[in-house]
Amino acid sequence: MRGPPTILRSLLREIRQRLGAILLLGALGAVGSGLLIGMLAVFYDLDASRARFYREQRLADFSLSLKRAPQSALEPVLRHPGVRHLEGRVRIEARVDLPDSPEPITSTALSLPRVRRPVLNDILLVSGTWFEGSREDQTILNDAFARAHDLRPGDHLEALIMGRQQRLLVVGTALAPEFVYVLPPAGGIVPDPARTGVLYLPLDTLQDWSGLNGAFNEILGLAWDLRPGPLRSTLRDLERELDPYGVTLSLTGEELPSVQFLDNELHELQTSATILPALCLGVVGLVLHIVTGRMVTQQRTTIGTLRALGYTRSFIVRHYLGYGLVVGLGSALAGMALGLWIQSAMIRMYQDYFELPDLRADLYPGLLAVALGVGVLFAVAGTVQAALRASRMNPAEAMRPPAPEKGGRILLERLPGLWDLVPFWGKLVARSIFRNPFRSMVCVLTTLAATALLVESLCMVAALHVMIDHEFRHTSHQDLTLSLREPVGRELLSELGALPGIMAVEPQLVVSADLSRGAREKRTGLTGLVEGNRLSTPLDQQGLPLRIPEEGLVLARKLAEILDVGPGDTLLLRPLTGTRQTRRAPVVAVVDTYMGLGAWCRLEYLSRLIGEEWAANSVLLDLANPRPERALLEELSRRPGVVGVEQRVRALEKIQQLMDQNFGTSLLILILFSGLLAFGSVLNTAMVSLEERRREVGTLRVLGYSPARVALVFAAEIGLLSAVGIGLGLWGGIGLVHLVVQAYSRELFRLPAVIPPEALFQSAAVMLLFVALAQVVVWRLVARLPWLEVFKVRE
Amino acid sequence: MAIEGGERRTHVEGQPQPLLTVRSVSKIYRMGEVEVPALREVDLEIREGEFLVILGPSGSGKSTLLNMIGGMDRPSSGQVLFGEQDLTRASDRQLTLFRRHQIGFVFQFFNLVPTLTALENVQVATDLAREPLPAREALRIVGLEDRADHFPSQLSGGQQQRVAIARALSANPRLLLCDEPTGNLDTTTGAQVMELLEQLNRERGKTVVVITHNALVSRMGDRTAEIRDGRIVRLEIQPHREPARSLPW
Ligand SMILES: Nc1ncnc2c1ncn2[C@@H]1O[C@H](COP(=O)(O)OP(=O)(O)OP(=O)(O)O)[C@@H](O)[C@H]1O
Ligand SMILES: [Mg+2]
Repeated sequence: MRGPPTILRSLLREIRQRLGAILLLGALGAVGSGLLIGMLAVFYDLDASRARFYREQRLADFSLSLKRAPQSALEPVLRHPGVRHLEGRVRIEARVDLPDSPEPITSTALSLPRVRRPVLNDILLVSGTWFEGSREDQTILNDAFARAHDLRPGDHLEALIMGRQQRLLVVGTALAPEFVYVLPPAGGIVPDPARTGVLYLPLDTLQDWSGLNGAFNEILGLAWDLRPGPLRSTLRDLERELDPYGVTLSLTGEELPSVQFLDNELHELQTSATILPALCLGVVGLVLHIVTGRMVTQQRTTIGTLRALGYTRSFIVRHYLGYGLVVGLGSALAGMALGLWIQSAMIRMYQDYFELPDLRADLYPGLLAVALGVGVLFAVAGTVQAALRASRMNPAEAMRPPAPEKGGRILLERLPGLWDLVPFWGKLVARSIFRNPFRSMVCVLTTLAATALLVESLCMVAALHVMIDHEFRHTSHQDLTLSLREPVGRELLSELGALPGIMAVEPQLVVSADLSRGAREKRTGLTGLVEGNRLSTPLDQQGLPLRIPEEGLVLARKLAEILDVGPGDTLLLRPLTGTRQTRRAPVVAVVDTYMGLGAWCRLEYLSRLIGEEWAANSVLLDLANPRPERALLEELSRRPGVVGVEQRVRALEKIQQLMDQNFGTSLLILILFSGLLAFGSVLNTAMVSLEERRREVGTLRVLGYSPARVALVFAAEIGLLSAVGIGLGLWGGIGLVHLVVQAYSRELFRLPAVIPPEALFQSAAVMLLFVALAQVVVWRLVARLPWLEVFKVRE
Repeated sequence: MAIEGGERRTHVEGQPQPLLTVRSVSKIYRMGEVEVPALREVDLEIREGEFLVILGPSGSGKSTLLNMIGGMDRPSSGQVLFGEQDLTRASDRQLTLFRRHQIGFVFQFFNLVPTLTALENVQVATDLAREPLPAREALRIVGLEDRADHFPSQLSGGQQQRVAIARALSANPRLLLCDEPTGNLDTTTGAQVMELLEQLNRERGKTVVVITHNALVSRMGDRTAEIRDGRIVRLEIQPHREPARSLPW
């Protein structure tokens, strides 16, 4: 054959005729491929950067916090067959005072060798140098904190460490693998670099200041077997061996909050990178299936003619696969550009969000190739059936005038009484819907999926708002929280209560403890509340305050399930502070709360469990002015034993700011995504229906129907189908919310399944808007249809 | 393979050679339980260079027979021989090549590709042919060179049929099979189309088979086969062909 076959031109002209529809379909495919490429590329970027950072800076496989362990304590532990390597370091709380911050900033001081050598949980210097000489007063800061306060090497800062005020010279700033996601040590779920200070100091200095000469209070280690089971059991052995040194906490590397957060984020990224593209590309495939199926039916005589002229079966197959190939290739190529843009935009966002070195948008030729392949595959798969059907047509058969269109009475017509009541145009609509069940189903399913997706996203945002309200408005009422290094007695309370501007004072005691019953065991935090607690009122899911008995514990449902206990059972309880002696404690009640592992009791009862008569390690304050004066904050933070002062309003603002930033854009993107999905599928249904019924349209126009009247028939068809889809989508969305809530119901907290009516209305409204847009396009198409030509050429 | 060979026609003096032989061909369509016999043991020879008219009422099996001759479909029993080649035993691909190189079809409903211009519709056939007539030349022969860039929807029925003839002609086939080529045309246009076919047969030596239910057409052919109920009931030779122009259309 010389040159490209002429018949290809017909392919190109048909594509040009349907350009709008094909571009729309291509756009949907491009969004699919783009999301696949963009999100997976970001996943690879993050994963690579994280892996590199963890490896090069040697993130520990586990850590143990203890009271005091001399170097000699490490030697026997090192002989444990599961342990590969151990190192000790010092971690103490520090309070940083900065001129640009009214309240002191709860920070962590960590030791590093004075002379640089590779250690576990090493740092990566971003600016400045390592410690120099034997000076005591030098520190390296975590980079995010330094940036937030505009601190540079050469600057000084004031810090209170172990009760001593120190003026420290900043010699460098650094990133660390254990602080990729910088959560404030004082608590919270969103990063707040300005409130998250990490100060690295020379080991000898820190040992000296904290009275840990030649000893450590944290042990970092590497293990041989990193599977969760064996690692946990190794850790349990170590805890037992090191028990004399007062182990308070043991964590596997994966349990580090920063590591966990990053892990979750990557996990979610991967899930979205599969579901959203699959949805888009699936719709592209289905719609192509419908469109090309219709085309083959319509072009049977052309197919017969080509076969009569001597074109082969395989040529016909290739001809029709061509549509899939053009749409698939075009959209995949556009998707590549979109994907690369998505990647760079998301990486820029993550650069702010995570303190990862060297996080950059890399090019992944393999990913691009796979995405290209997947994009083409979905589109071609959508055309395969039509292409095969075309090739299987017997040429003689294809040449015969087509049998009258699928006649067959639809079910409705068999109910004569009812059918007679349906107006003329209603009959047209009903026949079109029921004679093309597959097409109608795809239209319903896509609007369903798009609506469900929207409902789910809106409900998740609502759930987070409920959680935040629950935590910050209904459970906590204090304006300030003072954290104390050591439990203290009642005297502090009266002192604080006497200060001007303080309306109420409420003590709390929070103790980590191992709870066990038989073989079941769980470590959790116990919160001790005073009688008549007003500033902190833990609630159950109904919003009722928990009733705390004089003696015994109230457990959250999830914790009770883990321990397999109910009211009336007795637990063994071993606090990790104080005397650390195992006690028996009765379970009085089990409650449903959002905090999965919560356990509550009376402060006095908890004090006795740790061997004190009365103790508190945090104090909640109610102020006359919820935004405290600088003087008051300084007064409070200067008190000995106070390691942190947190404002509730500030934490709340921080969270809301993050939510507005992140959810605002993601919601907008999701709305556009769902809209495009519905718009694309609905419009295509209408266009195929329109094409199929060109003669009908022509006839109606000849009879004097206006374009708008004719369009009404199509509007009614897609309106009806999408209404069903949206309706079912609302249901589906509610189901999806429950599914997601179930899946996300982690140990730490469970998301509430909130389904605000506004979310349903808003979803329906957005979908209706996009469907209406599609209607307008259909109306324009009907108006522009060259209806006279319909009668001129036999197709 | 012989059919692919495209051997040039050899002019044999005296009795023309059979180009294609139909031997006791039957075709039975099965529609569920019902069997429709469309052809019953039909015997027919098509001779090199002749103008054969197949005449019969609607539903008598004319199109079915033409499909057997043109390798579009296979008989239920019997043989179709093209020279030495048994088309009933040919593979699907061999039949495709047979149609490509030996046959030109003209259909009642023209069957042009609506998205291609007149010229391109002809090129669709020349793309495949081994020794095609240039597409423009084919259009010139049917008198439509000035309409080369028109789309089918911009042509009259007669013009569309002439494009279809140009298409059938351009691949330079030995056998032109026309299924009611004037069925959708008014008498004057129909007459013009018949004249064109006559001219192709006389001047270019194409073997032409024309299906019709118009008895008048028989007068311009070399022979007429009359078909009724799937059987050839009469085979008549016209010693004197009348020119299409002189017939009382
Ligand atoms: N694919 C088919 N399935 C079933 N029956 C068929 C099929 N094709 C043709 N027939 C039947 O075979 C018989 C012959 O049909 P054919 O098309 O050959 O008639 P025809 O002589 O060309 O008629 P017309 O002049 O109307 O074109 C008719 O009764 C027709 O109904
Ligand atoms: Mg016929």
